[in-house]
Amino acid sequence: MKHRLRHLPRDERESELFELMYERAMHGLAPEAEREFERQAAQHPDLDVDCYERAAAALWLESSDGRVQSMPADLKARIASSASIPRPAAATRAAATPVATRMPNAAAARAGWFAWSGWAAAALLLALLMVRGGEPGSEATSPAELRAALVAGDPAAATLAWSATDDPAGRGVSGDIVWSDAGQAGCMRLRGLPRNDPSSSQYQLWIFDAARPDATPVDGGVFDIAVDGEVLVPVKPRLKVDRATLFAVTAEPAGGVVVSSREHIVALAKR
Amino acid sequence: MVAPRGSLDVAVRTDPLESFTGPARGTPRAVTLEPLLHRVAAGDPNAVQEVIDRYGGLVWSLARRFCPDKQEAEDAAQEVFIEIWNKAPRYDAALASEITFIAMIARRRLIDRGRRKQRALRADGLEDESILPAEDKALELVDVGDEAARARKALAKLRPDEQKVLRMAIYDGLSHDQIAKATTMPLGTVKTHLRRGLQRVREMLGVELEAEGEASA
Repeated sequence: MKHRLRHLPRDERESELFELMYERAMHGLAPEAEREFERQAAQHPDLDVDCYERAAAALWLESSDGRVQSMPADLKARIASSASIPRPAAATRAAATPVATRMPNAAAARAGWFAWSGWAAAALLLALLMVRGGEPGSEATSPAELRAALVAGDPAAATLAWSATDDPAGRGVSGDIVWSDAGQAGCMRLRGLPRNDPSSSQYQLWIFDAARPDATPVDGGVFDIAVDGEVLVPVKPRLKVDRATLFAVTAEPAGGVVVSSREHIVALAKR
Repeated sequence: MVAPRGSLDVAVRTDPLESFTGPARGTPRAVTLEPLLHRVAAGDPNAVQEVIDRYGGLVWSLARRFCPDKQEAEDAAQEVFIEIWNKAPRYDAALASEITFIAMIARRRLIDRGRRKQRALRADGLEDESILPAEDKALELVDVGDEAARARKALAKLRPDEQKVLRMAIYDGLSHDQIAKATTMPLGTVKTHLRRGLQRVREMLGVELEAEGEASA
């Protein structure tokens, strides 16, 4: 491991920020002092403002002899079941594209090219996705193009119908999902899923993989439903899926979760 | 007896009353653990469980030291893990080992929580262990990381009084007043020792870090 300590104040004894850093490490700061600390820290972005806290943490670890009490199993389970971490927004939030309006002029031109090129273009597009890990649904690849490429380019791609669930939000759901294990990509077509308020809740796709325990499906990303009618949602999981066996859409708090409570399953598609 | 714990790189003491007779102090096992936090930051649900398994004991031990009762410690531990999930993207392996980063987050959260509740930090943790249920006495051994080993070397270079007050403040969670009473040192001397001691440890850690960085550059 390569270490590189960032700069410290030239004269620590006279530095107010140093004083705040020390107090923060030893006793914590009152809210007002914490705000002042954050203000001063922001003015010194190259300063390693956590160095005293790390020293204190290292001292605690040293003093502990590495002997720690085992965390109770039920507490571990509660922490795991409630785990919710901010997700990398750019990489995980998929755009749901209304089918009726998904083809602006530029996209329509691409669609024309796509129809002309036929299967070879689909195979090429799918190959590019596989090789370059391209982002489905980006400017270069619309969800419709992706879906067509998956269907035409991978003979083993699965098209699975969504089943409605007992959840109030899932009773009217229909549509399907196209998924390619080889391409590690898919495209959902959804109808009847209620609009969501992205500031409070979002839909999240889960991909159950034959190579993974059912308890830990792969996160397929969060998405929003902003329109009535049919939407297309590209799927590009961040983790490799060996063989997808089941797809589930859940309603989750805004930003999605790492482990779903599975309280609101709104759509299921089984292989 | 120290037994390996499944696929995790920690050891579990099956007899909590058995004295530790393993390797040198503070280095129960010489293992290299693959960092997990970058996987958490990438949204890997398996990494979440691995972090809980690997660092649950560490967080729980800190929570028990800072919180007077078990229910509060459980709430605090859950709060700490929420903070860990939030801070995972900020972990920089070039600045600290993962366990030190986790311990730092946990201490900060627990200190803030203690301040919010206007309660004194727990000063009698070891005594209270006698009334804990049996399952709470189970101990694990964790690899405390590079910084802890360097901290030990740095601590050894401090004056005995400085070492003593630092241990009482950092590990036992004693306040300045409590340390002054326990050691019969003047309050001002306690504060001076603490400030100077932590500053010197930080400096020594920094010097070593810089030296290693230059050596590996």
